[in-house]
Amino acid sequence: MHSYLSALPGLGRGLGTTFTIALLAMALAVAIGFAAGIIRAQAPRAIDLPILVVIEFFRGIPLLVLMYLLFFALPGFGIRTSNNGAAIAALALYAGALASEIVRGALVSIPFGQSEAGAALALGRFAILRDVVLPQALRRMLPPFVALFALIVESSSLSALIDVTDLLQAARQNVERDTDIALPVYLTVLVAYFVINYPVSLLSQRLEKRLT
Amino acid sequence: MNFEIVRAAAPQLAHGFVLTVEIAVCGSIGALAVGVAGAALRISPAPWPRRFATAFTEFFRNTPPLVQIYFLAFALPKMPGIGSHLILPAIVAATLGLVLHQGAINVEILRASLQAVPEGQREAAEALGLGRLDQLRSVLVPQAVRIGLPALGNNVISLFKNTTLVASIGVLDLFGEANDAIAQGLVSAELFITVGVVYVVCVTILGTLLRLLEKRLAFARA
Repeated sequence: MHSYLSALPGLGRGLGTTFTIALLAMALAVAIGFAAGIIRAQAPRAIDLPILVVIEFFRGIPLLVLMYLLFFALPGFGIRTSNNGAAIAALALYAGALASEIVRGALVSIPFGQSEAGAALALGRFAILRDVVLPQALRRMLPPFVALFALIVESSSLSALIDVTDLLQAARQNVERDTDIALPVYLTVLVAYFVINYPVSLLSQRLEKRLT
Repeated sequence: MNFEIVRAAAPQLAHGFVLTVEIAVCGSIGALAVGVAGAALRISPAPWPRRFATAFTEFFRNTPPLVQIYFLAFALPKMPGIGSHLILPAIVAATLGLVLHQGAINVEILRASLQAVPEGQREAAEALGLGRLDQLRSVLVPQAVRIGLPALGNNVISLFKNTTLVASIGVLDLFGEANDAIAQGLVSAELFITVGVVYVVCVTILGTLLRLLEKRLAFARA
């Protein structure tokens, strides 16, 4: 019991790292998602196709393999990455690929008449996107983006495997010191992830019902 | 780029690939079984089975599969009293973790699909004198499966990608064998790139097959 209590501060710090990594990855994924999603919704096929191939690659490769590639393989090409940097980059690329589909899907779901009405008002291409299409599309993006955050938090646990001291890694270190506390420590970690992700999933479902 | 190292490790990688496919197949079947059982409980008229299924689904859907695998492999054997009977072989703990997580997602997909079947279908079945079980078997489930198929397919793909997690507790799947080859001194970007390409190709093939299946099962449109 004493050993379990003394593990808690470490788990707390790990939780902080999990949050930081998830938030940074989410911010990057949203940026990637908007850039790639808007280009894909607007661009001609010749530009759209290569972007689609890149997106399918990052959606298809297992996140763990991507993390190992960034962490262990990039130094072979002269690019050194830190543990945290590789974890954040891998999460951002994976979630960014999913985010771009969310953005593109929402943009093309807005009826074309809206763009035509914008054009009839003599708005430019950029103004139509910014003032007519995006405000309507943003509402449809919100629920899947909230769900994406839960997926990022959950997936960030893989960064423990490249030695990032996130929540799971903090648990592994404590259990390594005293295997008898494995049960309460891993139970705490499971509950911690649940306490974060359950409200986020609920929020996503509520928004989905309200906005559609 | 030097792919000589990949050639040297090829037999080992092939061995791991077979295990990856085995885990993916067993895991998908297990997850589907969990999904069907869970969805059946979720639509049960009795409140307690419904509550149990909801709690199960929400918990395993909202916690990381990797942590579930760690829990099954390292925490379960420390259970007071019965722990010594709960020491699972690594491959069982790993596959079970995948089945629980992906199964919980399947429960939610199947439940939502059953709800998406128009109420009139059930009423029509009832008007024909079908019992509750026959309504489900002959009218509701065949339609629900078609509605849920794209989501179920995505979940199979997600499980296939998550099989890499089993390597974290020492199971020698494709990813585990690749790490093992590297631990033997074959540090190489080429090896990781090859493994990555194999997974992407498999996911693409799987995705295409699932889309074909969707087309075949789709209702004929008048």
